[in-house]
Amino acid sequence: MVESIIGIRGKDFVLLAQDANTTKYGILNMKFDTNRLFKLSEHCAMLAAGEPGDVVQFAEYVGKNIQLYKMINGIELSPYACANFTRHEMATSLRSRNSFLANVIVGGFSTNERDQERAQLYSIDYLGAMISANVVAHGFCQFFALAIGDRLWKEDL
Amino acid sequence: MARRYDTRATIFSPEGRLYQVEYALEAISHSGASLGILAENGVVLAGEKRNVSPLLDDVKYSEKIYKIHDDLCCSVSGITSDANVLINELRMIGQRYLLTYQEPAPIEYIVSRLCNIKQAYTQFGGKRPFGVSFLYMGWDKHYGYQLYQSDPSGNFGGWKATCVGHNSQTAISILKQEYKIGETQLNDALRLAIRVFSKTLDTTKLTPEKIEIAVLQHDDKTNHTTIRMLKDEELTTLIKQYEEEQSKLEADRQKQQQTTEKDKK
Repeated sequence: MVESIIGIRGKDFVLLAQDANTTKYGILNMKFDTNRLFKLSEHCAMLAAGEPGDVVQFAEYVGKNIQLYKMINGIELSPYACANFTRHEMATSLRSRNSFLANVIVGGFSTNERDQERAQLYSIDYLGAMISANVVAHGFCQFFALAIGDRLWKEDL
Repeated sequence: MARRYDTRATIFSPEGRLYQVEYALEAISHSGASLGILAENGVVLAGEKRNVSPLLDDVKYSEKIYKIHDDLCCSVSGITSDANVLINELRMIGQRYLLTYQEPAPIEYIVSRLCNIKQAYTQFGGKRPFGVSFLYMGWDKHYGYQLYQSDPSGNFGGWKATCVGHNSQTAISILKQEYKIGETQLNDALRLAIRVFSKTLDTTKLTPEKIEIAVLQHDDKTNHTTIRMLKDEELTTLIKQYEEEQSKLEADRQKQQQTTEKDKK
């Protein structure tokens, strides 16, 4: 909950931001250069926060499967498809032996000119709920980021 | 010599051939033809119907052409019951993709997945291969209009125009001569399909009962694909146009002959 991940969508870009601290026992800061960003494809990435082991396990699993898709089919999945795949995995694992306590943000820019909205941003929580929005965030920073986003986000950022 | 290696599909012959696969292809070459032509603004699939009995109960029954999903349609040549099983599988492949990714599957993805299944029957399991070749026509956002062919071996390829089934070699040589790459519009493709079928079908006269034609078009503005079976009236019109063209050509040719004979005298 103390890890912050934020995503902001503009007309032709997606911005993903994260804090870089790893804390333990509420008081101990172990690391100042944590990486929460996982590349899914050339034009799509995922921020993940939550239970540390689950975060890496889930993010890498999704990322490598998306790479595999590209190898097999020769085409890159749009961020929309990546996000839906991620959500699908999260939802199926939820009611199985191995669920993941990870909240993720998937964002990217679609390389396919036929897509209506090219900049795509999605938030998926650990229960497999997905939404698309202009400003998304997970963790305590939600309370701040979403409120500020409501006030100050505009179309032509 | 080949007999000893026939009984199980899953072994090579000494010459390095898979006889069961070849026999399946042979079965398909006796079945009704399927023809596919890619146009700049759409795709055409045409099928030669074999069950033309007037006793057949004909509601909305299509013998050759089946819809796989909103943007993909296929035509069957070969054993119909084998085809039904594979069409069911094609539809499920499409839906499974839609469930996971929430967007329509790329055409090549579906074709490739089915072909992997078909290949399995040529390598292990002890079951015979499927005696069906498919022609697929579809549209997706990655490559636009596409035409694919798959056969019992599990091989598939993308085509601009092709034919499988009865007299397919004749059809392909006609297509090679007459298909214009980059310049074929949908109505050119339809006329070409009628022209090819009138030459490859066994009958002397082409009638709407003997063929099925489907057309696929995608509207970029609404992002909606329409797959449409041509109605009997439209087929009659196309056939009549073709016959008029032919009789005009014949008349011109006869006139030419007369003038050259006159010149000779």
